[in-house]
Formats: sequence, C-alpha cells, structure tokens
Amino acid sequence: MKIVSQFITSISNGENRLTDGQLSCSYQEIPQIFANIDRLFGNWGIEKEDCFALESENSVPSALVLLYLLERNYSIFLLPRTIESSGTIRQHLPRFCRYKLVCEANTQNGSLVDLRFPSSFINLAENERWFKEIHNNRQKLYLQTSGSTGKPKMVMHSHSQLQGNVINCVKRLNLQTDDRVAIPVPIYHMYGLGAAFLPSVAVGASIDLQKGANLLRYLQREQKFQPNVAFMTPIFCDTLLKGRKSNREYKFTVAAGDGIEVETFANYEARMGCLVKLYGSTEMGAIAAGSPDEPKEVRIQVVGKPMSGVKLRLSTGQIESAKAQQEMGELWCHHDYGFDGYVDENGQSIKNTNDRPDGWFQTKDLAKITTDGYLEVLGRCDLSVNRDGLLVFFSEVERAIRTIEGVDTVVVVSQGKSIRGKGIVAYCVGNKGHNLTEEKIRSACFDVLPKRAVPDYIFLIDSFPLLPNGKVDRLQLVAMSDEKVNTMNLVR
Amino acid sequence: MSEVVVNRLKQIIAQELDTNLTAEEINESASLFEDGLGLDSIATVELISLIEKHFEIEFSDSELNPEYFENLTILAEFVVNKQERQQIENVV
Repeated sequence: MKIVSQFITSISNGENRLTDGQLSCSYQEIPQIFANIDRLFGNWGIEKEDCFALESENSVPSALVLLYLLERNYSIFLLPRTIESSGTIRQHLPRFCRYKLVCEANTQNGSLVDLRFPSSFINLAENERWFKEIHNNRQKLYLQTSGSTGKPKMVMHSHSQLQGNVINCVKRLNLQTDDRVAIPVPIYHMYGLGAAFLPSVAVGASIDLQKGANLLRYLQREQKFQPNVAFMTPIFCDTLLKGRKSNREYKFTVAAGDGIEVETFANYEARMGCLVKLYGSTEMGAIAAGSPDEPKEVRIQVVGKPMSGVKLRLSTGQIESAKAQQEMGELWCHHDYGFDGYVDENGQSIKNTNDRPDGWFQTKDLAKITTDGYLEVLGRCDLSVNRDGLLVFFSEVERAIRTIEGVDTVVVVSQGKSIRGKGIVAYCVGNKGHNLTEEKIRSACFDVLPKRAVPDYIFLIDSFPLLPNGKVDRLQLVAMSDEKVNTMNLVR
Repeated sequence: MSEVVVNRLKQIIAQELDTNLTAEEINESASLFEDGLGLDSIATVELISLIEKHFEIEFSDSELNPEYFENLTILAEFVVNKQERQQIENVV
C-alpha cells in the first residue's frame, strides 16, 4: 500500500512532521528510516509472507513501523499496546501471526530512542503459537471490533480497500498538506487509523499523535502543537467543553463514535469552530461523513452523505409495526472499500451468509435517509425491545430522559421482564449539584415518554463504565442492573 | 500549609470523586492518572471543578497543565501559590 512514497517527493514544505510530544520526524526522513528497517528485517530473516501482530500506540515509533509494514505490503494484525516486559508474549495472538512487534520510545536507560536506528526502538518476538502450515494472506490488515455489544471479532481488510477508504476521507474532509492534525484517538482502531492518521499522512500534513489523552494532556499538547484539525470522540468533545476555560477556533474537528448530542454540537461549534460527524465501523471503514463546507444547520442534524462507493438502504420489516417509526429503518451498507470478512485465529474466513447477504452489511443501527441523500443515525437498532407490541428504542428513551432537568447523561439497557414485555433499566448521571432522586426521574419520565417506554427501574450512578475506546460498556451495565435488581434496591 | 491542602485534596478525592479509594489509601506522591490513582478524563474535569469550589481559585487554560497535576504534593503547592497570588491581586 503506497501511502508514504506516493507523495513524499511532492511535498515542498520539508517542515511537516509526525510528533508525539517526545519524538518527531519529518516526512523527508521517512524513506531513510524505512531503508534502515529494511536492513533490520533482512538481518532478522523476515520473509515477505510473514504476518505481524503490531502492538500499537499513538507514538512516532509505532506509527513509523505501522506505515512501514503497510508500505512494504506486509499483513498486520493491529492491537493495542499492553504493558509487559518486551520479548515475552503473554497476549493470546492469532496463530497466523509469526511475530509480534513492539515499539519503544525510550531506551533501557530512559533516554529517547534514535529513530535513525530501528533496532533501538523495534522489539521482535516470535509467536509461540504460530502455525507455519497456515497459508498467509498477503497485504491484509486485521483489526478487532470493539466488543461494545458482544464478543470482539477479528476483521480482515485488504490494503487496497483500506486505501480506498483513506482517499474517501481525504476528499470528504478536504485535508490539506498545511493542516496540523491532532490525533488523540487510538490509531489501532479503524477511526484513528483509517479516518484520521492515514488520510493525514496521505496529504503530508503535520500530525500530533497523543497517547492516553486526557483534558490536561490535550490542552498542553494543543498549546505546543497548535493544531487546526482534530479527530475526537463525542465524549472527549464533551470533556473539552466542560474543562477548558477559553474558546479556541479550529478549522474543523471530526467526531465519530456514539452519537453527539445536539446541545453538545451547538456548544462545541460556538466555542471551537466547525464540527463534522463521521459514521463508520471496523468492518466498513468510513461510511458517511459531513463536509466542513456544509452549513452548520445540516451538520448538526445529519452525519453527512455516504462516501464514494457506498450504497445505503433501510430495512423496515420489524419496525413497520409502529406507525410513528415508519420513516426510519435499520441501516444496511454496501461498500466498495468494505472488509473482506471475519476470520478465525488461523486466518480462515468465517463463512456466515447472514453477515453480508449479497454484499450488504447489516450495521444494526437505526437510521433515516433524507430526500437529499443525507444520513441521520439515531442509535443502535439492536438496542430496542418490544413492549406493548411496539418497539421501544433505547436511543429514543435516552433522548427523552436527557431533557429532564438535572439529568446529564443516561444509558438504557434491557433487563428481565415487566408487564409491558421486556424490562428496561435507565442508568442516569446527574448534573453537578443536582437534587434528583431515582423516584423523581421516573416520575418525570411519565411526562416525556409514552407509558410503554417508561423504564421499569431507574438507577442514579456517579459515572458509566467505559470500554478502552471510550464507548459505554453496556455489557457491564447489564451485569450491574442484574445485581441491582436482585438486591431489591428498587424504585418499584 | 501545603500539608493541610494535601489532606483536604485527599478527602475531596475520597469523598466526592468516584474513585473507590479512602483518604488513607491515597499516596500524595502517586500519579493522579493511569499509573497511580487512575483518574480518567471525566474524573479530572470533576477534580478541577471541586478544587475551584473548595479553594476558591480559578484555573486558566495554561494552568491546566499535567505538570501541576503530577501528584497531590505538587498540586497542593500549586493551590497554595495560586491562593496567595489571588490574595495579593485582591489587595492590589
């Protein structure tokens, strides 16, 4: 996958760099670093068909090795960095990976590594579970799904398809060589990699890779790096709004992940400039995104138009039972640059025709498509239950409860049964200084929701359990609700 | 003075933040983040707001610097200095 070499000679400004706050390198230095890695791989006896598990983090050494492996057409299984001593494999790696690569920013004596000497920052370990009889697929990228609603799956992409995705993001977001891009989202996930990092590299923009970003680190890096573009999650947008004291204008910020609230969007635009939504998945890459050129009134309502090569349709079969819900449906996506399929730990395709009948991918998201072709995503489709013979969507319940004074955030999960059908439980976090009680919230629910959608139980908690990618861990919430309901600490 | 502030910060973290820690369990030399008390972004925002409330100070963006939040001893020193600076400014 030629992503670095295609433009490296055309960049007139030699000052554009990749940085992580500690280490940095200019684009002009990359070819020599790659040549040095070539020699190191030669010494190690690496073969073209070898597949690597790359433990990755938002650092320059990790980013360079990732770019190198893509550039030299190796197959890569990308996973987050784990904290362990180098050289040992404790993580359960798939059997098709021959090696694990871990990149260090510091030498053993604590000084920063020298990027000109790859042996100082790349650690290679053999995967003891590697099964050499496995025929390796070349030029593949393997990613794990987040597992927010189930067990994580291993997703296989072709480099060429990934490149199509990258070009789509460059065009839609109109990224430019003179942009300065802050990336506080992990580059081992499709959003951080396929929408943020690789498109920024593809135009030769300056990039600040931020590891373990929190409010304080982000503001510090912002002051030093002076970004004009940022890729964030809605939760981090919210954190920035709550924590930062002064306003700061960006050319644009991209937000992907769980839907961003209208109020947060408007507040963000007022304080930090243009906000663009991006919708996609580990399997499909970027499906739709807004454009910074679109007016705010459009960007606040919808995600944007589908990317090039994407076809969308809504399935309304199950939803037709509710008249009020007829204009929305479950979103299916056909993507020219989508994934090849799911694979098992031997790299073999897991054949399941339900996954993609006729190439159409079931996103399991509830959506609307406007007459102008804009996509609006309303929430998870499988996050719904049948009550009183009609579907109740958790996203609708969450939206209504958030309008109750004093409620900051709310997540609804299904638990047990009630007289209306499946039981629903709402977990709420109150605003600072609220005087809410669980009883008060439930009572207020009757004013903002139809009776069938009023949660059977309300629990006030201090904060939500989160997955490493920042999404709410709904499975843990379900476990919490089991525990809470069983202890009879109930509203009703 | 800093020691009093350190102890007050420990109480604030133990009683008002969702950390599942008692004041006695909090080490003033431990990092506030991943490799110490484990405060995430949301808890950090909350801590800043609680410090502003309890110590009647206001952080500027440039003072929201990880170096001041390295551990409770350093944070307490910052709070004491900030209080003193504010008092002088008020007098002037």
